[in-house]
Amino acid sequence: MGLLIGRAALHRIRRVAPVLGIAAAVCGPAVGLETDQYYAWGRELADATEVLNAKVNLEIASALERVNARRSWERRSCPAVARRIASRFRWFIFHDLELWAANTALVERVPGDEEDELRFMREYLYHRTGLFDPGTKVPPSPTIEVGAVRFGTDKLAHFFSQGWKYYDSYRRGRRSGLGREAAERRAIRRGIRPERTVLGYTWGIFSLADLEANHAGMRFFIDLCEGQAPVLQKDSSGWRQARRFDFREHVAPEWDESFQVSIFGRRRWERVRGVLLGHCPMLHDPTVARQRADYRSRDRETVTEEEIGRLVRAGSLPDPRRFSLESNCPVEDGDGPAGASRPEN
Amino acid sequence: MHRGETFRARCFEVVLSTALLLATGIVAAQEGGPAPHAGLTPIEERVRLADLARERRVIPLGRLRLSHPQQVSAGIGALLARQPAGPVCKTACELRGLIVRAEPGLAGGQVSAGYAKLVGGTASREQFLSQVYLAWGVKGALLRTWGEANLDPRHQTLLGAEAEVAVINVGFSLGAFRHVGSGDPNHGWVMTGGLGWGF
Repeated sequence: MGLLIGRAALHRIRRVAPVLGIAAAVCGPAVGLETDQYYAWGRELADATEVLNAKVNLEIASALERVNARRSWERRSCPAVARRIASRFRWFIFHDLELWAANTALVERVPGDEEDELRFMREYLYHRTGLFDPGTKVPPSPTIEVGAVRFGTDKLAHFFSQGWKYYDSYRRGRRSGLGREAAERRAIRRGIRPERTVLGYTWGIFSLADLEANHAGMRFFIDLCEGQAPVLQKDSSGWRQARRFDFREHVAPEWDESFQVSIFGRRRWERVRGVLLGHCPMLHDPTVARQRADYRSRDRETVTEEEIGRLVRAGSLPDPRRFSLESNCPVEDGDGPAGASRPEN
Repeated sequence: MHRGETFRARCFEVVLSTALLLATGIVAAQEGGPAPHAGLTPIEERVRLADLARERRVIPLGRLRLSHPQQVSAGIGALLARQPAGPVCKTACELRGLIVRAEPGLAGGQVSAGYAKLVGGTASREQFLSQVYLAWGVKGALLRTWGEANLDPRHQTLLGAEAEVAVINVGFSLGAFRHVGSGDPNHGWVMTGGLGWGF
């Protein structure tokens, strides 16, 4: 077998490769695989809970139908069936449900139309992008509202994709003899690593809201097969869904990145801070104030927050509170936002 | 041509044709959409019907490539996909379907057809898919070399398969081709590879 790749041709390709790489970084869209809920502040947004629940339930039903159509369904374990369900929602980097929610006419979003999308890409929190910034070369996720919580459609991907990875890690922990709580905490700790490195902190954006969605996804997969009343049950005709999926059982105010602020690297913070300060006047907007009051009333300390708190106290992470709007907006005499302080550099 | 060579060449052509038929089959199968389920709630039925309401689209694609043996080439192609009704997405949506492409270059030209799946958007351009964030494809291809192609002999007609991926508009391709037609029976496999912009 004669391999006829020309050395000269390979040499030329090798020489040009870095140039193309740089071109990709420079000429790609100046946008990101991130989200920005500040952009949606003060804007009406219809609740998408019922539509998203319907979509998820249809996908689960479809996955079960396929499982039950095979002769082997009786031999399939519950986690194996759960894997089939997870695969209905996952691809690579981009995930099916996220793309669906970002494009279907049934879900209201901010940005809402094509013109608004292009404006969003020019103005959103991370629009000031650097030369080598692959994470911000793909489009930002729009904001949707589910169960009175606003979040980016990227959280749907985190829920099903990273949630599945957490679940895998959880199951390994269980197999090694850990109890349910310890195995969950182990999965969360392990999940923090890629968010701090590959997914997050190397791009200068360590999203705590993403971690919350990951954790919620793990709980969803655990509930499929464990507990007193698992969602997946096997009867004489096959696997069935004992109760319908409802996002309201899973979403929390911590999914909103304007409430659960991300931790930023120094350079990213330099770029983000100016854009963030532009939202300061909106803290006085009645709809924003009402939403944040509602979030605070539902807020509780999550396991992820406990783990992040541990890392902050150990000096491994900066305190996320220093990146909040309240900590950075200038104090206005008399009517400054609650908890506001002098702006930081 | 020796009998063994002829047999291998025939086998190769059969494999390639089967791959193309399979790609077409995948496209056809995907056009069916989700199967109906009994006992759907009204909102689930609405979602199901919305998912089924797709229309056939021809989405133009383009790429510039440095490759062996074509050297510098420009590809113009189209993705035949079924998309939800409405405008082609500006930011990011998933597209999958039959891809066809013609790609003339300094040292050869190629026509190809196969299956591709990608996530991309048109950005500010109306129809042309100028942003490809993530893509993969497999294609059968017919390649004719000319000019100063770095092959022996320089001018050949080759038939083969090519796989390609693209991440944030940077595309990579790898292929395996065999000489077709009469001539020197000792032609081996020709491996192709390329790096470029677009998909």
